[in-house]
Amino acid sequence: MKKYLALLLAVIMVFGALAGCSSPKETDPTPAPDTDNEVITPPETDEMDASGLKLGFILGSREHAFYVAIEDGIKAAAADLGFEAVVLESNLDGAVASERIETLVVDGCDAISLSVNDPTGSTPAIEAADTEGVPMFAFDCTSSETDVIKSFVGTDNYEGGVVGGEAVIKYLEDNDLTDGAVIGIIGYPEPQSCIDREDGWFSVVNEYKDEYNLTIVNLGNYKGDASTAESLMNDALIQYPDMAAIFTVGDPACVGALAAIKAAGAKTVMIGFDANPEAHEAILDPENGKIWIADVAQDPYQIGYSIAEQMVQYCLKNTVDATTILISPYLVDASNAEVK
Amino acid sequence: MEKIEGTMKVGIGKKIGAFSKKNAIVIVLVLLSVGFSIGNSAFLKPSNLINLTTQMAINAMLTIGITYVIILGGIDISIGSVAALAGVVTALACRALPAGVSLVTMVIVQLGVGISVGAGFGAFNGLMVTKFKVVPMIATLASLTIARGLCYIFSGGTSVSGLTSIYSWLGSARLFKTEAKPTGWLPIITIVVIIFVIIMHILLSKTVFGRHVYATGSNRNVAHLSGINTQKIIFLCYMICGAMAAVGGVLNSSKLQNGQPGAAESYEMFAIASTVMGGTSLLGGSGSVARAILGCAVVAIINNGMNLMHIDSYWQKVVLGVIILLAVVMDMMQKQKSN
Amino acid sequence: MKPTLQAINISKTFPGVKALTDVTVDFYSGEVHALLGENGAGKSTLIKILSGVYTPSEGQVLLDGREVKFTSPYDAISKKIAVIHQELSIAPDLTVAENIFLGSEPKKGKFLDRALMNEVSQGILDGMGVGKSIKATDVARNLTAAQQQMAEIAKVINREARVVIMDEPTSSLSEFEIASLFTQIRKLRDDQVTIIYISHRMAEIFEVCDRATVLMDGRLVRTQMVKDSSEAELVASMVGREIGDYYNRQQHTRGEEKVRVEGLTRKKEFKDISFSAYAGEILGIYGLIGAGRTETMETIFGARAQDSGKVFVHGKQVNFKSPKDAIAQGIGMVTEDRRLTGLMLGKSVKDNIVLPSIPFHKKKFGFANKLWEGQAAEEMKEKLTIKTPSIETIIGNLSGGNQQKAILGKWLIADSDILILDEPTRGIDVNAKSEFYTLMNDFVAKGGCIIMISSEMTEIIGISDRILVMHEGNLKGELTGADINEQSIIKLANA
Repeated sequence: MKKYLALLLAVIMVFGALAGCSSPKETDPTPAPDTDNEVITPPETDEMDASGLKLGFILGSREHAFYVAIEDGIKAAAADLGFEAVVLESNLDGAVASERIETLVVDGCDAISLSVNDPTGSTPAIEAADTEGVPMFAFDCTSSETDVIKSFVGTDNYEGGVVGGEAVIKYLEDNDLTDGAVIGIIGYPEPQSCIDREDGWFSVVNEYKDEYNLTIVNLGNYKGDASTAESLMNDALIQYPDMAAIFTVGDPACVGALAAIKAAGAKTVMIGFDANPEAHEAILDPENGKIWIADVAQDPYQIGYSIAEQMVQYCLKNTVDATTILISPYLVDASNAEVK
Repeated sequence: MEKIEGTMKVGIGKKIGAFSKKNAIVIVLVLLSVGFSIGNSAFLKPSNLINLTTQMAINAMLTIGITYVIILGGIDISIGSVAALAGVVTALACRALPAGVSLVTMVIVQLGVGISVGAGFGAFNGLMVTKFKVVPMIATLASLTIARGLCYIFSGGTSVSGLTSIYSWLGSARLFKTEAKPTGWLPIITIVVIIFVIIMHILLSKTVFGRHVYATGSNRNVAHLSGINTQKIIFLCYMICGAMAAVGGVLNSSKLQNGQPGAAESYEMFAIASTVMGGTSLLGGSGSVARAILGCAVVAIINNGMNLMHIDSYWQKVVLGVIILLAVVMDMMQKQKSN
Repeated sequence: MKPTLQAINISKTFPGVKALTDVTVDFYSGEVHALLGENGAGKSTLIKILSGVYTPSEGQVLLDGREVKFTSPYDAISKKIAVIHQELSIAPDLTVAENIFLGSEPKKGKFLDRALMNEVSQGILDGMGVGKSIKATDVARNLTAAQQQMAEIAKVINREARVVIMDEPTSSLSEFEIASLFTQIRKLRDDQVTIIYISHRMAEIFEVCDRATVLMDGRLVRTQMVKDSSEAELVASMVGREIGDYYNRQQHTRGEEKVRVEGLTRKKEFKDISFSAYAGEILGIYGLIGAGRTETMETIFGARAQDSGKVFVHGKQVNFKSPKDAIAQGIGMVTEDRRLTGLMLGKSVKDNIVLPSIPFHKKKFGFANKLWEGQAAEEMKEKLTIKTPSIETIIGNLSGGNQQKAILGKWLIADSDILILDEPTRGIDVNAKSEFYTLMNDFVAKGGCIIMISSEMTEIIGISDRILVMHEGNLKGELTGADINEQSIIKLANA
């Protein structure tokens, strides 16, 4: 029996330790002023006092640098505005996202936002939470199947694809590859955001297809996994050894494809998406920069900060700036890349 | 009279003692619940407890099935994929139904189609293991990838959506709506899972078939020489396993109101962990559906409770692993002692 | 002469049990020293202490007069004390030479010196006189049980062991293989090796051992010269009382024909076997390993498919597809290997006893009759005096004798009237054997039919009403009444 107690104690201690080291930041113990909607709120949004609010956030996955940057933005907003942030992840799984929503409702969050990576899967849970009186928000990607989402902050992914497409065309034009070049795309046609990027990219390159006699190759679905992307690129280079340029819908695909291109000694260049730190590093690298020439940058930090602002504003003043707030993507190349 | 009372009391005390000794999992469960309710009082809110039952529903169905196969001394790692396939096929079938079908018809079609798909795949596994003597791990590994491939083929690579709202009745409707709880208190999915748990628990613990499952898992030679058709028992257990996984998959797709080809990926690992935590021996021959479900409850409570305690999700993965190990170690220690 | 190995005032206590109390034994070089006692008498505890598996709670182990403290079997091995276990510990996929050198492989530079290994091993095998049938390069899996045992002895010789402990070395050998084992034992003795020999078979003790130490309930009863004692005397001191006629020989009356086999054949195993077995008799089947006895019986039981021939049970021709069909016709089979094919070791006594009968007692909708299961198991426990704390006890925790009774009980509950027993008393102690024979006699007296396979000559002569002898898949002959004796059996079995 003693052994038992010891083991059980160990379980408790594990919990104690974890709860201790990860509990949210101590909020200011002084009671917040009554935060009725009527309370005198200064006109500037950045002076809102949100202490006393508890806001829930569900990231797609904390294993992706992109979502980690969003989390940074959320935490910065929490520090500036004083609310308590509860951040969970859904493993990009609609069923898990639904569970997390339920949990945050029970936890007493004043508002919840999530990246709706699986719109059909999480919509019932989003609507249920709304029915229970918890306002719902979305960031990064949203659900078109429900109208209860108060506000969505995200990247204009379609526009990002357009930026990527234009970058590919510009590369072809700058390098006299305007007749019969082969270009390709590595996609991930499961999350809506990646589908939009792909669509945006095709909208540009299809326009130039006849004019420049382009061969446009879809290399396949890399499923968010770098090594899958590497095999896709390998296979493609066997068929098209002189492929001029590719666009990928996510940086992990570039990481994998880079390895394949280097191994094959091909002259293919790549334009990625997300502009994660590894993209910046590669673009500035004298070797890799010859292949990975540019990247479409989102501003995840800003997305995180903005959605938090909108949630606070809704809770305090019952308004949002807009139901859709799109943060525009921009192109990162050797001229503006930076290593932190 | 007094004496009798005294001994009776001792008897009950001993019984509780003996029960908790045999079922280390109960202690883990109670302890976790106490710990989490101290960590966040919301844990014990009725609505959270109800959420727990819905959150463990899919894993519970997978666990029921794999408990049969593990008691048999086998393993089935295809259940996650089979669940997804059942979800996709059921969604496709139900989308093809004429508009305005009744709820009853819908539920019959959902369960009928789902169970057929699952039992079919289970039968395939059973056939590979019994007739072609393929090692269960390999046979079901093959099924795992085949089923997952079929998921994407049938669904065309994207979710099967556009389903009517009654499609989601099984997975997300709740009874007893009140003002405080406009979505309702009693989830249909919980009732469905409880019904399956009871039936499958009784089938294993009270019937001749169940006895034969244990015997086959304990020592296949002895079972065969004692007049048991072990091949048939093995075949049926894989079929049951597939069917239960498929019910899980149908419930999942109903909950999400679409059929996702990527659903339930690697859920088999949680099902295996749950049943092992519930005392099912990977060597075969012992285990129980009811106790395996307690294992499921531990997994669900850990997930839910850690989120409520705002434990960093990176650490959650570590803790889940540690608790699975602790539960199994406690169980092993108990078994060694009783021997 | 000074003793090589001495156990001085050894006691060993396990939680709740005192396994050995104040035991003192001397072992000399050049002697074969029998260690006798019933199961639970403390023999295995003593040899585990001598070979470093356990450390004694009290007392000392002396080697050449100096105290040694073994903390692991490795310590004992390095002092040249070797154990040959009942269950052979040979690695089946290695060659004989690799097994002989396991753990002490010779190297040439960084690589295994295979040539040297094979040469030395073959030398040892030749020295033992078995070099013709066992080659150093043979894979162990392809050897017979007896040949594997020879390889183990070669391993012991190669390690130049001074003390060799043999734990029931003959349990899986036939009479003739035992003879060649004894030759090796005598050779080792002549080379001044100390041999500690454990066996339940009294005849072997008298054949090969010089001195015998008897233990009972963890205490030393006596150590004496074997040639100054008698079987009855030794057995009496093992069980603590006179045991009388060990086989409990009884006159049976033969009844109707129960089983008739005509020309049964299974390619490569046995051919053209024809015999009958009757109610009210014990039919003994004798033969060497590889004679096809077990295979024949398993075929009759439906566990193997026959190639040709006919089987009649209760006068009707049958064609069993599986044991299930045979059980339905009232046949039960107690297999050769309790652990592999006889018992669900991790299950309770009750679960084991009722197993074949569960379907016969099912209730509506396929529910099992739990009440009946408990009653039936309880009844068998009483009737067969199975010594177990309760019917819920895990059967793996019972002694071999009680396990064997439970297996018998399982067929009695299933209402079998034809029992096939394959080496039913292997590895169980004298007292339990005697009880088991009584149960067999009772079964036959009530009109049951027993077909018993046994490799133990004294047993098969002692209990059978009639004996069939098999050799290399052929039925060589039948012995009844006064013809049943050792000479005639050996003659048939060797023909």
